[in-house]
Amino acid sequence: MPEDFGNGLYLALAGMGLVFLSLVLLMLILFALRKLFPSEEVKEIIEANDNPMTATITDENPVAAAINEAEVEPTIAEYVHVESQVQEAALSGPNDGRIHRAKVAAIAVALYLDMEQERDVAHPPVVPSAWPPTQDYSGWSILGRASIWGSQGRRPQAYNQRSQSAYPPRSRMRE
Amino acid sequence: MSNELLGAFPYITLGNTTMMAIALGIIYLGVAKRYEPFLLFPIGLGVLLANLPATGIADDDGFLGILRKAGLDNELLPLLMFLGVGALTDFTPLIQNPVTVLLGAAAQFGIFAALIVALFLGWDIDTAGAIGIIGSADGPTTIFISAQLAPDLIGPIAVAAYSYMAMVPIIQPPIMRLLTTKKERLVKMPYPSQAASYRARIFFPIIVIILASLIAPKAAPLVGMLMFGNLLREVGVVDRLAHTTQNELINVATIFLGLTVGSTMTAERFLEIQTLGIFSLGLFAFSIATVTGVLFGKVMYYATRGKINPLIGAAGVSAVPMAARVVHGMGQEEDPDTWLIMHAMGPNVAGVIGSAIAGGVILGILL
Repeated sequence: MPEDFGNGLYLALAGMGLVFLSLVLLMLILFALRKLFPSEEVKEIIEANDNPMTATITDENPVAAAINEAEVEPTIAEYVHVESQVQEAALSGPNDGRIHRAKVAAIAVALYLDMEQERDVAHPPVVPSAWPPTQDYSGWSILGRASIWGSQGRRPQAYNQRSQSAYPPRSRMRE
Repeated sequence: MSNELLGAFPYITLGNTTMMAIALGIIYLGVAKRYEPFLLFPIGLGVLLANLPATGIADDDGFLGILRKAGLDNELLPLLMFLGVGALTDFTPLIQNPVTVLLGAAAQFGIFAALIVALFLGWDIDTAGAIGIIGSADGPTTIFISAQLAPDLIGPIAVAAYSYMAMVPIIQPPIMRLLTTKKERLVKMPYPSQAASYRARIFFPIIVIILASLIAPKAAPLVGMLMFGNLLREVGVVDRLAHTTQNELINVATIFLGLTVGSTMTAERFLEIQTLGIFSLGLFAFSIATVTGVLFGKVMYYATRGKINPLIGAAGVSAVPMAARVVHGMGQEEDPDTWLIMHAMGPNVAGVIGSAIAGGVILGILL
C-alpha cells in the first residue's frame, strides 16, 4: 500500500464531493435563474395574456384573423375584406397613443397588396419570347450574330500576340 | 575546426533521432489524420525544434525557452486559451436543461480513479494528480494543472490528453454500447421550445465565477477566464472583443502553447518508461470518465422514468464538442430521427466547468 494512498483517497473523495456540491448548487441556481428570468418568448406570451391591446388571432379579433387568412392565400374577396377591416382600424384610430399591433400588420398587408395591384396595371407582365425563334434563320446569320455579340467590348488582339499557325484555317477545318 | 564544418551532424544521438521521428509522427497525426490538428501540429513542430541537435532553441535563453518561461511556466497561455474557449462556448443547452449539469459532475470520476491507480503504480501524489487530470479531457485545464504539479511531465501529459481527445470517437462508442440497452439508446428527448433569456445568460457566468471561486479558490483563474470569455460573447455590447477572443487571441495562444509544450518534450525527459505509463493511465482516465458518465445517465434514465437518454452521460467528459457529436452520432445510428446534439451539449459544457473545479480542488489540496 503506497504511503500517499490515504492522502489520495481523501483527495478523491473530497474532490468528487466538492465537484458534485458545486454542480448541484449550480443546477439549483440555474433553476432559479429560469424562474426569475423566463425566456423572451415566454415573457411575451405572458404579456400578451395580460395586455388586451396585444394581437392574438381569435374570433374576437377579426382584423388579425383576416390578416392570417389573407397571408395564406390572398384572393380578391379576401383583399376586399382586409381592406374593409383596415379602414375600420384606421377609423377607430390609435388608442392611448398606441396603435394596435394587428392594425399595423393589417395596414402593412393592405399596402403591399395595393402596391402589387398598381404595379400589375402599370407594367403588365412581360411574357418571355421563345428561343430559338420559330422563324427560320440560316446558320450563317446565327454565326454572324454570335460573332458580333462575342466581339462587343473586346479590344482586338495585338498583331504580335495573335497565334501564328503554319496551317491556314481552311485546312484545319478539314482535319 | 573540422567539427564546425560538419555543422550539427556530430551531435546527433539516438535520443534526438527518436524524438524527431516522434515529432514527425505527431505532425502526421495532426495533419494527415486530423487528430486535433490545431494543437498536435504546433506541438509536433515544437518537439522537432527542441530536439534538433546543437541549436539551443529550447534552452532557457533560446527562443522556445523564453516563450516557455513567459507563457507556460507561469500558466498564462492555458488561461488565455481558456478565455477563447469561453468565448466560443454556448451555455444555452445547460441553462435550458439544468439537470444535465449532474452528468458533467459524474464524468469527473475518471480524474480521481486515475489518480488512485497512479498512486498504486508508484507515482508520488503530485504526479498522480497531474496524470489524473488527463481524464478531464480538457487541454488548457490539463496543461494548467500539470504545469504546477509536474512541470517536467507537461509534454507527455499534454500530448496524451490531446491525443485521447482526438480519439474520443474511437474510445467512447464501445463503452457506450456495452453499458446501454437498445431501448435506452432509442430514447428521444424533446427540445425546449424557448431560448434561454438574455438575463439568465448574463447572470450565469457571473454566478459560476463567484460560486466556483468560493468552493475551489485555486480554480478561480480557470473558471474566471472561461466565464469572462463567455460574458464577452453573451453581453452583446463588446462584439469586437468577443470576436478577438474567439479568433485572434485563441489562435495566437494556441500557436505558442503548442510550440512551448512541444519544446518540453526532449529526449531525456520523454524517452522513459513512465511516458508509457502516462499514456496508459490517460486512456484509463478517459474510459472511466465515460463509464461513470453513462452509468449516471442510466440512473437519470430510471429516475425520470425513461425521459433522459443515458448516452448523453458520455458527453460529460469535456472534449467539447467532440464528445457531444459522438453521442449524437450514436443516437442516430439507432434511429435517424433521434437528435441528441443539443441535449449532449449540456453535460459537455458542464464537464468543462466540472473539470476546472476538480483541477482547482486538486491544486488546493496538494499545493
